Amino acid sequence: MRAHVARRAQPWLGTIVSIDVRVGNDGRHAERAFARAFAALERVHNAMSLQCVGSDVARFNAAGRGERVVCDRWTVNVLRLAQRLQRASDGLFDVALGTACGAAFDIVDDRSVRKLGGRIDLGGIAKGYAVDRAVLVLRASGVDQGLVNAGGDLRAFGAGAWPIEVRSGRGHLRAQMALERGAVATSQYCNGRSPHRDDTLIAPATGAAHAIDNTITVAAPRCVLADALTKVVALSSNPHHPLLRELGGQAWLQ
Amino acid sequence: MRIEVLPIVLGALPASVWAVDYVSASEAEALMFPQADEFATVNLRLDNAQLQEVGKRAGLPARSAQWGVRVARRASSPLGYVVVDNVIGKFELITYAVAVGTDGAIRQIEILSYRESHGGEVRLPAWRKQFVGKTVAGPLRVGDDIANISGATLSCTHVTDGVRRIVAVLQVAHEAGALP
Repeated sequence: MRAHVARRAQPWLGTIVSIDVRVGNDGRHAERAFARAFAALERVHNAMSLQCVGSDVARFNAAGRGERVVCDRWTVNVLRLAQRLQRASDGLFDVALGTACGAAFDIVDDRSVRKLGGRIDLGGIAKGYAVDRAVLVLRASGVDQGLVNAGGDLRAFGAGAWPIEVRSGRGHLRAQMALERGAVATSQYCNGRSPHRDDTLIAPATGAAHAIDNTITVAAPRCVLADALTKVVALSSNPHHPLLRELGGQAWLQ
Repeated sequence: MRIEVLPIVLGALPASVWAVDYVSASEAEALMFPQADEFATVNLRLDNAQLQEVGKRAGLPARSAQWGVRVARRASSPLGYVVVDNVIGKFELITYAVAVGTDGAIRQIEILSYRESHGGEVRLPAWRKQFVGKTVAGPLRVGDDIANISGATLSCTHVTDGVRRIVAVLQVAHEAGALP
């Protein structure tokens, strides 16, 4: 049976998500896998997008203090992980906005959280989680080799390496990498080069703005971890942050 | 997990464009309306009042008065429409298809083709041969931002805008009786 790479791309989570899979001759098999993987991306988009009307995040942000917010099970998964990462990184990673030092939520059960205050933004973790979900679905659909790329937060699965290029803020090639069975995410923060608001990263614990002039690349076994760890490395300016080792990650500043 | 950092190969080759083709327009319409047994093209030509109405509903300029719409049917009754369109991503064109039901609801959006330009430096490609994704026209790019708006993010915004315009075009044409 001749294998080939089949690919699809759709816009989700504010970016273009592409899926490449190595498949045999049964095209219908690949179509079912694609459909299920994009359905997983849609579910994450609908639950966790800040802009998506009626998303769990939008309803949480609109809720009053002390209110219980019913969420998709996947959102609770992400919030649980966010809580662990927040503690393990001493607040460097935090999905809460405007709570200064306090937590924004408590987990009630697998389907709901209680709002303690402030707002949340899952932008630093949801894309990575969505990529991991899509990979799980593809594998469960019988695909054994592939790659899911959500605008640069990506994960390869199965045997075989994939070529990755890291580009600077101006599009210059900064690094080339070969990735097999793992995830990569990048972040970059240009130091005062542009008035764009997002050029600075706000440290959640202190509210201090950090201007960082580097491309940060993090590789980790899961995309959600690579995604979250880029923030930890960016805010600590430390590519050897102990949390990397703990979570099986590796970082490069370029 | 295995990750290896490779030496960068710099060359003086000129900037070039590569494209990733995902699906063809006809494959896309079959994917988006699998139950259809017929597709036929309707060429819309909007008049000035209709163009203004499109601009008002979409919140963006209508851009073009002429639109080719593929009408999907099953046993002669219309299921919906497919429109193929191009938008500029960061620098290059993106071709995408949107499927809309006869109720005006978006059913699916598929990227057909995604083009990007290389910078001046070109990696020479012996090393790429070892990869699974070697048939990909260009390597996977990460971190390619301008002021933190990556090519993919900007492309997504432009596709989303394009989709909104197409939905408005279809609504206006449908109300005028130009579409079944």
